Amino acid sequence: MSRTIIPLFLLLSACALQSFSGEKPLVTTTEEPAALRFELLPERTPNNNEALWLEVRVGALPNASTLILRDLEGETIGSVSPYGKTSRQAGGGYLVPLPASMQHEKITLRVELVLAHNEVRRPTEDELEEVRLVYLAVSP
Amino acid sequence: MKKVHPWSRREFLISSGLAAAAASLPLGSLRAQAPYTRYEMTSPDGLRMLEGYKTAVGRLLAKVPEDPLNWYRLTLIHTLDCPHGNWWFLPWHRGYTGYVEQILRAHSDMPDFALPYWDWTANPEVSPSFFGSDNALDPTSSNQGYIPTLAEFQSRFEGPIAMLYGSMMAAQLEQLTFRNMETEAKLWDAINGGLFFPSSEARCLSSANPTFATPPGGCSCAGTPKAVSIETLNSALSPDDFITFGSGIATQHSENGTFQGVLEDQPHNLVHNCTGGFMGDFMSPVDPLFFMHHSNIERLWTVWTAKQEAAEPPLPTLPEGQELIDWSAEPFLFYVNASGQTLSTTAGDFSTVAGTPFDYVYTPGSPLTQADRRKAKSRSFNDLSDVPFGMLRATAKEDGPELLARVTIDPQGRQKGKSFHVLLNPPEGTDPKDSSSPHHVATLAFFGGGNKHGHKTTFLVPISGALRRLKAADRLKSIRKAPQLFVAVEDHQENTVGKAQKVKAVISNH
Repeated sequence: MSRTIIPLFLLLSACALQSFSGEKPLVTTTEEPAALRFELLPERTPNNNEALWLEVRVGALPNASTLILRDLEGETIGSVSPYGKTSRQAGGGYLVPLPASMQHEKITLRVELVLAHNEVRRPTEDELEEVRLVYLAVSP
Repeated sequence: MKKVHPWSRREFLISSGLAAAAASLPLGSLRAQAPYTRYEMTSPDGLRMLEGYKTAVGRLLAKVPEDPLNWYRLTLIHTLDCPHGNWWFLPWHRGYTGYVEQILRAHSDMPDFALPYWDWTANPEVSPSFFGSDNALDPTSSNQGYIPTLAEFQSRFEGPIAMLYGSMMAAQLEQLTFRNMETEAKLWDAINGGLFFPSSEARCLSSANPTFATPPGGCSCAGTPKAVSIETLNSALSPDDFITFGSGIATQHSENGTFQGVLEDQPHNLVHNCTGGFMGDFMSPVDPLFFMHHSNIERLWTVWTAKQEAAEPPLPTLPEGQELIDWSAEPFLFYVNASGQTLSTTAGDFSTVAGTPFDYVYTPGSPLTQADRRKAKSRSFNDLSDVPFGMLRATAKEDGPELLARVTIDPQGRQKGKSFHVLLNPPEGTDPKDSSSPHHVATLAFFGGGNKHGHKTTFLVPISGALRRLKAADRLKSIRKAPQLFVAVEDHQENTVGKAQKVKAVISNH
């Protein structure tokens, strides 16, 4: 397993929402055999009427594949599965809500690509372009 | 309230500056009564509607390809014009399902027909109503008007599609340039490129494996149980502004927007892809499940709208200011009405249900709103067989509601020394005394009374525990078709146990 600092585009996207201190990375990734592991540092705890979600930007994804985001225990947080060949080839941004238990501290995610017949592999940089935290105004 | 809108600084500034426009928004959910009701599809009324749906779909499948009301011709409206991944996703599908609903009503022999909805949160599987070789609701059936091969589809529709393009207005053709379908040849390229599925592949989920959790090999269902979960729905409904809720801004409706909202990118996309076959791409309305799926998406839009209107102060239900003007003006030019006439409409025509010619309401589904919960408290059914299976399934969850049965016992003579075992669909050979059986609900007995003859007495019996044990034993499905309570009398003095007899019991939820 190799630990790496994430590509620049991920850092830049994180900086767009958070003031980057320059001392520690806001997003790091670790390559695992069949997944990318992300650690994201929220700038702050969401206010009462806010929620912290993910925006996942993907490129073209293989036919019949699904990008699955899991927590460290392996529980599914959400997924990206574009509808239709056109969307699948075009890529785009997808909102994924984070559970209440992940709103307050460092967020660790495993992202894997599930292919047809349930084969699982790590997504490439072209397939998973960006993961960032976003604060949204919400109400119950 | 501070509004956080991270997608674009420009969008945020515009919508903040014109927030006052929200005051003039129509309030779609404030209506006394609508003539049509969209029911949950496994409820008794929903099943009745599915019978009308089956009749209508069969008739539309049988129409000649030249008829704009032919089932595949109605599908092509979606193929040619559907928006996905942008802020017109919701209004376009409201218009599409609404007009198709009118067409179905006219062909269903049911004047009150309305599309039932598929509450995949309560029922995360394809209902048995959609399977069967002689069933117009099953596109894998080749003897109900479904076209078995792409070659045959081309043979039947080449001429009618050429005629369709020949009759199009310039404005329609202009719309089609945005999605690279401005000629019939380009449409055929798309159809030949993977939009059409032969009968054997027309749907991936099957009667043998209908659920999202255990799909047949090859179905793309990873992540689907989470996408339809109550947690995901609550998140999907939580945003305070239309754009975050209903997907991002685009310049025209065939363009990808800035992002997809959770309602679209989680339950909408994953149910399409998990169901598979036609449902996985833009000819998805070939599969009749499409309209139950989109009826539920549309229902959830009305739930979100009601949430926004109920907030103190009320929150906007649509885009605001100039964005509302831009959003409302988008042309939708491909719908047809029940007479087969093409309609010229805009997104603004479908901003509320009340402003449309459709006029329907929904029965409560997942997630229940606070108002729904209040109504549900007093809900009762004449017998267990009348309770929707979705409610039984919800009850079987650890945090589900409680279901109580009013079981009336007639001791038929002496009441002392007798026990009355209440059972839920006991299989043949079940020992009524075995309280460890998941089918065992409760054991009732009269207190005291000596040898006097007893009178009919009604007991309030919780049945939620038995439902949870049946679920844990993976037997909940065994009661799906005909949930039924039984009572077996054990006479301790005679040391006998009678055969379990069916009993009727009023059921209420709490």
